[in-house]
Amino acid sequence: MSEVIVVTSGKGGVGKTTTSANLGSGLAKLNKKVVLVDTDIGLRNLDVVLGLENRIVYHLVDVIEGNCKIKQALIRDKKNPNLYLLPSAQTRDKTAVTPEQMKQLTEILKEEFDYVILDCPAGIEQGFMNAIAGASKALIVTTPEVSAIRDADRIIGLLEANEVYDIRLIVNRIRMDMVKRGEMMSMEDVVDILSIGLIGAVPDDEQVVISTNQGEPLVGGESLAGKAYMNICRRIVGEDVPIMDLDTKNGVWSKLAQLFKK
Amino acid sequence: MTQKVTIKSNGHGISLVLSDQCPFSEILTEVGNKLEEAKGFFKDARLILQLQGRDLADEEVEQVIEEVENHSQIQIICVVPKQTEQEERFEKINQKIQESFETINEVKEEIPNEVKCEDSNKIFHGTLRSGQNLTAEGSVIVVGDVNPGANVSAGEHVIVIGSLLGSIVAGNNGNSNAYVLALDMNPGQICINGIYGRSSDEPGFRKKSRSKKQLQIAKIENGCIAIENYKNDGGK
Repeated sequence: MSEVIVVTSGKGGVGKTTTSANLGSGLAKLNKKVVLVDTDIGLRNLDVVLGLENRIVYHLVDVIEGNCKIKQALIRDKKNPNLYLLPSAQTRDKTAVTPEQMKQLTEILKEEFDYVILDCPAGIEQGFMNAIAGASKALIVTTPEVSAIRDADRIIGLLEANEVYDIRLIVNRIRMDMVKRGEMMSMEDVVDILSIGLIGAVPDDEQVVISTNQGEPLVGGESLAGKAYMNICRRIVGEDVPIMDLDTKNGVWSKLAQLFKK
Repeated sequence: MTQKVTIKSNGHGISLVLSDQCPFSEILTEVGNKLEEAKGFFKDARLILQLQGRDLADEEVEQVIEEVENHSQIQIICVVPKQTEQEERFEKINQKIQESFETINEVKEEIPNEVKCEDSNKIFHGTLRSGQNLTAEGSVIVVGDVNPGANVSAGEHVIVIGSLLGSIVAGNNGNSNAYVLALDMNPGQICINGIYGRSSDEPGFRKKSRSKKQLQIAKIENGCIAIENYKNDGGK
């Protein structure tokens, strides 16, 4: 029943880590046992986004090299008792583990958790190969920019070559005002090019930056991005949630109007 | 018969390769002639001059320099007699780097880019994605899209039943009648039997058209790639 999901994109800076953190927290809020694995060895930052950096004692490479037990390396989240993080090593590099070892690791984690979410590094080199080795599902994060879409397209091809066929798309940082003016690709345009199923769209929201800097994922909150991430989590657990309309006005008056509606 | 004087370019300027098979005076006049010819090319460039092929006395070197300055506007910064020790050292370092790269290349794993398919004609179902190649001796049919960054290479024709946004090479067997057919023709590049055409550099992103699709054909016309709406004219 448990699933191993890799969050990947090819291009860097499109929001893989933020998405991983939010999906992990969101699924935990839906009462699932979740472990987030940071596979970006040498450039770890998922711990920072979750606000857990000060609690790291052992890391992924320690577990694989047998320097500690898995339980010792897992860090429980501050808020969600259902959510754990397996942090990556900062002083090593991608070659410190092999795809076979990662596969073994995910097999062990699967026994304990409902969802194993792997935060993949950018690129298509060994770090990528490590991250996808144990995964049965993949979530592709992309922004509506040609460069990110080109890389996402390449990643989908590589995933299929490595026998990961369950691939869903998250379009991140959409700005509806720009889409309306024809200056940005719409969700539909991105889906058309990549021809894979959409699992969610996340608007460009400054709240995301704020929450990242505070180390508290915004999933499930009042912000538009928080709602969008929660919807993705619901779809992952199998609920049928329609794709949210991101076209909300952000002016002062419309916010006031919303207040009065309540 | 070797030439008396050859002008070569190197990293920092020009080398004059002087033959040692004929008298020095002939060399001098030849240097003048050669530079006179290449006057328009060099103009008033500032160059480092290197002399090779012949051992020259100091005054002979002086004479060559004078000849160069008389017959061109080249400004000589300095004269280097032959390949210097430093360059030899650089070459050695280069070699070492190359060698170490070769060993790295042996170790690294190949990322699978070639789509599996057999026979001289190929039919591929699905989306060809960025970085993927499809090659065939004969013709290729893609039932799906060819995305930007994907390559199709065929000895004969290419047919895309879907959006064509990537690069196509057709007519590799030397067939200049080879054609490319696509339901949504918007390729980055098309090459038919060595003749290239590319899409215009219009700003914005290449979208897949969601409107009604019109079958289009690309073929060679008057030595260029021409794309037009496809009409079934009985195979003419």
